[in-house]
Amino acid sequence: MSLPVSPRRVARTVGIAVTVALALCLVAPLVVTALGAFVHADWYGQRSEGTGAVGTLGLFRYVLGLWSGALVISLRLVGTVLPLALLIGAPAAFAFRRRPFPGSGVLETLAMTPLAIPGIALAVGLLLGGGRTVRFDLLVAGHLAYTLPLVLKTVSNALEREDPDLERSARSLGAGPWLTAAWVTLPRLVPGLVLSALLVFAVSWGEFNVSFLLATPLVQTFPAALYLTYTTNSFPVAAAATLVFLAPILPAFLAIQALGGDEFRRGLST
Amino acid sequence: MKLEVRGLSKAYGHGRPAVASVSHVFPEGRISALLGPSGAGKSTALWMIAGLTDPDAGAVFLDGRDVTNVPAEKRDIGMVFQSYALFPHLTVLENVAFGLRTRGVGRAERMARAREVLEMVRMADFGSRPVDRLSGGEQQRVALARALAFRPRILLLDEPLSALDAKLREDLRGELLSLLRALALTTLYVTHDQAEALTLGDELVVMREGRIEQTGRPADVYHRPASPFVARFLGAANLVAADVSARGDDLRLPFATLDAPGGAEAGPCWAMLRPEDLEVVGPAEADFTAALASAQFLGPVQRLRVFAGRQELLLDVPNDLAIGDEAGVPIRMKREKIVLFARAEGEAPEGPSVPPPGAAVSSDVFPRTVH
Amino acid sequence: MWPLARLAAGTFSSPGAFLEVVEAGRYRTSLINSLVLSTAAAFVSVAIAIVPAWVFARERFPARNLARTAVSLPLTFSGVLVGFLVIVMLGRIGAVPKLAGLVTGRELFAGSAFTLAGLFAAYLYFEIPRAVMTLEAAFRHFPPELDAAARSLGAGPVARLLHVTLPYAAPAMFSTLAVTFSASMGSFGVALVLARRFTVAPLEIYTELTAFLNDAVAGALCIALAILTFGVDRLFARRAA
Repeated sequence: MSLPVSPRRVARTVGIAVTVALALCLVAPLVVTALGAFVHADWYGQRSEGTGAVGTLGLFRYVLGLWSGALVISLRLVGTVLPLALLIGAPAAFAFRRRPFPGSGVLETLAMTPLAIPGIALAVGLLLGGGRTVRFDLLVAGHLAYTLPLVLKTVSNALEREDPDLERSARSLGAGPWLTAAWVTLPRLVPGLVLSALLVFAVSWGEFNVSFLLATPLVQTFPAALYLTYTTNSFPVAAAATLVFLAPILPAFLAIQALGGDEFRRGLST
Repeated sequence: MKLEVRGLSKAYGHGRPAVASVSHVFPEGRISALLGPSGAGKSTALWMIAGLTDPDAGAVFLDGRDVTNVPAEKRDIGMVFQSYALFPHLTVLENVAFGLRTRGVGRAERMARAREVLEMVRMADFGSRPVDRLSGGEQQRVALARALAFRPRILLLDEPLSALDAKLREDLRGELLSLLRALALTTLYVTHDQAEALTLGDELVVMREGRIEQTGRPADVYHRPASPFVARFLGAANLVAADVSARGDDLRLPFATLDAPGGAEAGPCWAMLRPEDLEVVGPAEADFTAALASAQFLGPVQRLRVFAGRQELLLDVPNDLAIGDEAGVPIRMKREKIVLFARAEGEAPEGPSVPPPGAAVSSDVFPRTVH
Repeated sequence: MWPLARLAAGTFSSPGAFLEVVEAGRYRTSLINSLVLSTAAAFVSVAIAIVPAWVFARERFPARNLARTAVSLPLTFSGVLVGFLVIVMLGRIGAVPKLAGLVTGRELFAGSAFTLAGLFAAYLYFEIPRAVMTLEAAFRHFPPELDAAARSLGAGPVARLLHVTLPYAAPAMFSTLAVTFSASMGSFGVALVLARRFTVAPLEIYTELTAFLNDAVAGALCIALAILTFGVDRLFARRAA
């Protein structure tokens, strides 16, 4: 009873086919969007504002002109959140993992909670708690709530993978605690730190809940601006805006993958 | 159940094949020990026999039937893995009953039969335990019970004791032997431990680099190895570069000349003698004298390291023999135990310590590290 | 840590509105909608994720890294973006209807983006990648000899799946269910873009907050949502690793 092809090979081929099909399904909308941004509006039966010729970058220039304010705000926000998250999160992770103190467990759990709460609830809380005014530091706080846990988790994982004996041997060789941290621990943590920086960037850049609730018609972050584009502008413009939004994220994402971004699992909320 | 393989081959694309055209008929109802260093291809061969790996070429025959294309789950074999591979989400009893479950045996009956088999391996009290609370030895016995519960026609064991520490291994070896003998199943036992193979095997199959080097009864392979590799793998062996005279009547060793064994070919050769085949005697009966370098008390024997001229030798002597720092130790060789192997001119023996050609010291006299 | 304090201050200032929340039909509907949709989406996405996760964990094939990157890409997408993408594919002039029109002459699924199915699809879009990544990690730890042992004992592929693979992966699957469920319960951006003809909890909260300036109700809804999410999450998590 011999078969021409073993059932295992069949199963394998089917499995791979399914997987590739899934990948294609997930990528398809992006492809269509990209097409929409570069192809002449007439194909969609709509007039598109601000384009001169077919398939040029005119759309992008238009989008950038329209939403430059939002872009700037997003960049400022990310620029503030990133260093803060790292400066608070990394030492915190170090403290929790290497020098736990009474109550550190509780603190750590507390810090991780924002991930467990529905995103909208967090946003509402911030809005109400801040007295319904739009303030930059409220935005930062909101973003920090999402990004700090990420940094904590990533750096903690990196720390755990490190052999504490390395640090102990440094100490036995005469290096004080600060020196050890600087010369032994930190260099080995660099990939973990870079990874968490990328994650913070990706999350902060795309954060919508808090940003949208705290936005006004004049002042908003780019994701919030995206929403407005979707509801008011034509498809090609929306598509172009989407691509502008995605532009920084894609390289960041690839870098995260390269650095082993399994930390993603709980990371990103919508 | 008769087991035969013909021309079994498997390569993994690193160049050297894992198994290179292995053919053998395994004696029915007996234990065949597949012995060899790691990388010899024994586990690969076992997995191909089990149907868990597809061979690149060759065929497997069970009871005369070509089962090469039959999937593993239909081959009716029992297998014990090196890591035991017990199902973590099932209890001991459920693990053992698994093979019965896949064969459609009803719940009551399969649990009863599982309990029977557990009794056989003396694990009857562990039935409802989850498997992650078992020690290594206990897991091993459950794995064995699981492989036997559905009364397979062959039993395959892939280094089942290698994950245990030395003392436990020795104890379980004896238990395993009596159990396997009682079952009288065609059994294949893969191991790299030569002590295990010698104890458990009715037949020894020595493998190296994907090929079978020698097969035979353990005693035969031990006393009449087919190559220096086999000689050294099964135990300590002194290998001395020697020559057989042109007329084939003299065997010339660096430190003595004797009558050559019958049928010896003229020319350079290796003469092998195991440490137990050299004995310390009175000066009158000695073949030669050697200078004592060291004496190690091993328990059952003393192992002496001597130099006959510049030839290093190991010999085992009774543990109560008094060895002083005499100028020379008189030694006699057991003629009938000498084994000759072919040697190319200037060839040095393979192995960890390879002396430069022409230099004083040895041939590799130390046994391969086996653990 | 300090943002948390702010949040607590914010949401606990409205206990009285709870009754209103429980009784008014609209609020209940939105909560139930969220619950049902999120639970269904969690199960479906995990079910869909099993095969790709297994394939990624155990098989090697030419396009593997590419496929893996493609599948995990949506993890970076904000909810609004996903909503937009669903419209791109399933809106009135979306790609799928257009394609269907070319092939069959009828524009199928046009406008379905704005139905429950559309929101469901959006949930799937950002949940499946998460599920695949989590399950892949679990499957990678699957000891290979376990499958071999099952085969040697006579278990065919289906039996192995049912009795060995799935039970082994069960804890991971439950924790994945918990994560995906929570993600969609709290997802606001998607709902904003897509939920036109019906409502889900996050949307209700938003409306209360901005249109009606009904802070108390909004806060109460938030708490209700949080409790629901937490509750179901615990339910899953208890069976998880």
